[in-house]
Amino acid sequence: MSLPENIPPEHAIEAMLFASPTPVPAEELAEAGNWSKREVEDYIERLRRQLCDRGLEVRKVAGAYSMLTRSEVAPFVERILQVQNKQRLSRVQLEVLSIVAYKQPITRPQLEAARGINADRTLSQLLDLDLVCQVGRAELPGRPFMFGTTELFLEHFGLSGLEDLPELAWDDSADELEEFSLEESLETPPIRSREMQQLADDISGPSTNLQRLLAKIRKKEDVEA
Amino acid sequence: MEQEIDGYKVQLPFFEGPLDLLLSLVEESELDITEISLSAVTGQYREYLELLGQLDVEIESSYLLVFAQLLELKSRLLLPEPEPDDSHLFGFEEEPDEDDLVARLREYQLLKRAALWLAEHEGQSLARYPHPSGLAEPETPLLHTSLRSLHSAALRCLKPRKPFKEPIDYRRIELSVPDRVEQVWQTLQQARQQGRSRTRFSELMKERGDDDRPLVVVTFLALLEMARRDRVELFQDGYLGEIECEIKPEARAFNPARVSMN
Repeated sequence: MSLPENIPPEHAIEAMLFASPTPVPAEELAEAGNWSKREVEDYIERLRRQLCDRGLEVRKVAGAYSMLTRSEVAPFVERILQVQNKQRLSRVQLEVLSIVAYKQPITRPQLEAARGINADRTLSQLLDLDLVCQVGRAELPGRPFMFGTTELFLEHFGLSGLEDLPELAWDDSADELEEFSLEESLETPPIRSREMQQLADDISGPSTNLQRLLAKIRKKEDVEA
Repeated sequence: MEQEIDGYKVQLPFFEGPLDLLLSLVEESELDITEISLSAVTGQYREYLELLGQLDVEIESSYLLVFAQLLELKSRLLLPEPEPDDSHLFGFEEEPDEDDLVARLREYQLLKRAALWLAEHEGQSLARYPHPSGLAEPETPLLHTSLRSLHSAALRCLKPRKPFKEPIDYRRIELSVPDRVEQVWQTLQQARQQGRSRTRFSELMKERGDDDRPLVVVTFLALLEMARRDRVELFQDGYLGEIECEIKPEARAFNPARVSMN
């Protein structure tokens, strides 16, 4: 398609992004106007500059471009659209999702290990929401399924790609503290009778609840055996 | 979670698992995650375990497992360090422990931070709205249905059906597709001579009634076969509409209609 001479390409791109209810990949924009991908990126940059003091913005979402209202004016938009309650993910769902996002591909047992507790129910909710999907099987005994995040995950969080996730690392101050406590641990006297006594209490103290728990687990093992 | 203990009502915060509990205990006491700090909160961890009450045995045992690891860690800290030279004698090695609670808890803390980061971005992302229009695809075929076709569909549904016969009769189908092609061809020719160019599928089924499933299938296959050979043209008015067929002008002279199946 060719444009009339007096229309700059970014106008066509602006119109395409405005009209599309879903993000548009750069390749599609390029194909529509016979532009190179590089040119498309330039035009989008120009469009971005033109929109910088407006209520709309162009964002890269899941590797594609989308024209969206700015979050600062959300209350106004929500009033017009009569948005009542937005469905947000629960704390557990976010927790499991972040583990999948950072450790993908990940199996169920690995997920459980990272949380210290079973995550099956939350995982199936995330699968239903299409935020997580199966991404093959691990070469492990039983060939368990592996899970990863979907495109919808990127869209939902407004991420351009997985590389947008912040690095999962300690900041420097945390490292210093770690060294400090390491030294401290060297200074720890090897045996302290009070501590020993407390440990003994921890293990064998008058703990009815613990006893009950152990009995319950033993019973469960018997049933399974 | 709320529990009645010795008449006092105790408000317990809800934790997402043993690591969550342990992390919050360590953070509450404003310590870093080290072996020392973990062993320091072992007592509090146990207190929480006492208050945990009846939960699913799977969940309870996850809490218990971490408690056992805490005790193991604490007892190791309390033992005298082996002399470096004796370490081989006693079988002690400085090995990286895969079940290392400290490492797991640190990672869990990072992942929880990541979850917070995601929550923040979810909020921002949900506050940005796309343009809702665009040519949306019709969600259901019903949107394109006229009142009349809905009415006739309702009538078809309400028509009493033959009761389900038992036992099911597994007869061999005596009619082959080539035979049926011949029959259909004759019906179409007759209809054309009577001045009707298009013939409805239901008319083809007239003599046997459309409860004859095998015949419906064979007739449908016959029509497809004829269409494939450019003998007829098939029409359908929309989704699930009735199929109509018409002999193609260039095929009118064609006779006999019998096709060889290959």
